Amino acid sequence: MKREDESVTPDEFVIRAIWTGFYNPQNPLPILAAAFRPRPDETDGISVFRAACVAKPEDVLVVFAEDKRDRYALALLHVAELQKLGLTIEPAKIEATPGHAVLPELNCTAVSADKAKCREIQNKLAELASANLVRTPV
Amino acid sequence: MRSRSKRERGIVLNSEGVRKMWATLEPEVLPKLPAAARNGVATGTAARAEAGDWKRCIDALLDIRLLEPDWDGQGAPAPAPELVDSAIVLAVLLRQKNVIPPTETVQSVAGSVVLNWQWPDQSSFEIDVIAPDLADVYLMPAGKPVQHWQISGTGFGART
Repeated sequence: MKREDESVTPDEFVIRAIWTGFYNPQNPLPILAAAFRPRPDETDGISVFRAACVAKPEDVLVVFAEDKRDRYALALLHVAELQKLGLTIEPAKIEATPGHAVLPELNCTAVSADKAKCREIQNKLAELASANLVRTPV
Repeated sequence: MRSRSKRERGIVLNSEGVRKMWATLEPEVLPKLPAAARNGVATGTAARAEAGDWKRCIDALLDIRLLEPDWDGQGAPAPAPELVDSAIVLAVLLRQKNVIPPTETVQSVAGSVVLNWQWPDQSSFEIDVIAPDLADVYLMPAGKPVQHWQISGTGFGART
């Protein structure tokens, strides 16, 4: 496992937690682009977790309210693929779990300022996530 | 759990409101929908299946209207009831215009309501109701750039 103060490298994967409503295995693209939208308070970007910093992907679910954890899917995103999309992975320590990071380009202000461009990126992220789910909602 | 009627949920859809809302739907959305989204008038089994899918969409919107803040366990805001009512009106208008039902109807973590259509070639179309009587529209043909514009009851924004 990596320490979270080690720099993020292109060969790493990050984990994105996806609410059950944004996942439907019967759709051509099981994950909706909406899974990569920031909340209004995500001024620093949407959250991801470095897979190298946790023992198993499910460990990151500790950040969610306990009664909601079963309702999340988890997808792995390759850092090199994110970088190809022009995204950076910025570590942002939190107490609940090691490895928390943000994608600053997808903060709430940027997404509102250029919706078409951000939607292109979110669509690509949805494609990548749909192809690499490691957990589906219960 | 007994399902509650629209009146019990506090939803009032009067015809005057319906006429005023989404005035730019006709010029700004319907002609630009992918051909597969406009199926004309379905009959028989197809019509019944489509009616069922639209009912699922409206039911999903009614459920969204009941959401409370922090529905995702991460602090996401619940869509405002007026916004959801506006989305319901939009859905009714789209159905009346013989648009096929959306593939997904879901709230976003930004407090908006998303109607999303998908096709097997991975092209998609989305109407994201961001305020009462205001929506972002995204046309996403497979392998082509995203087209974005807004619709409202009073005018529409520039395409990006």
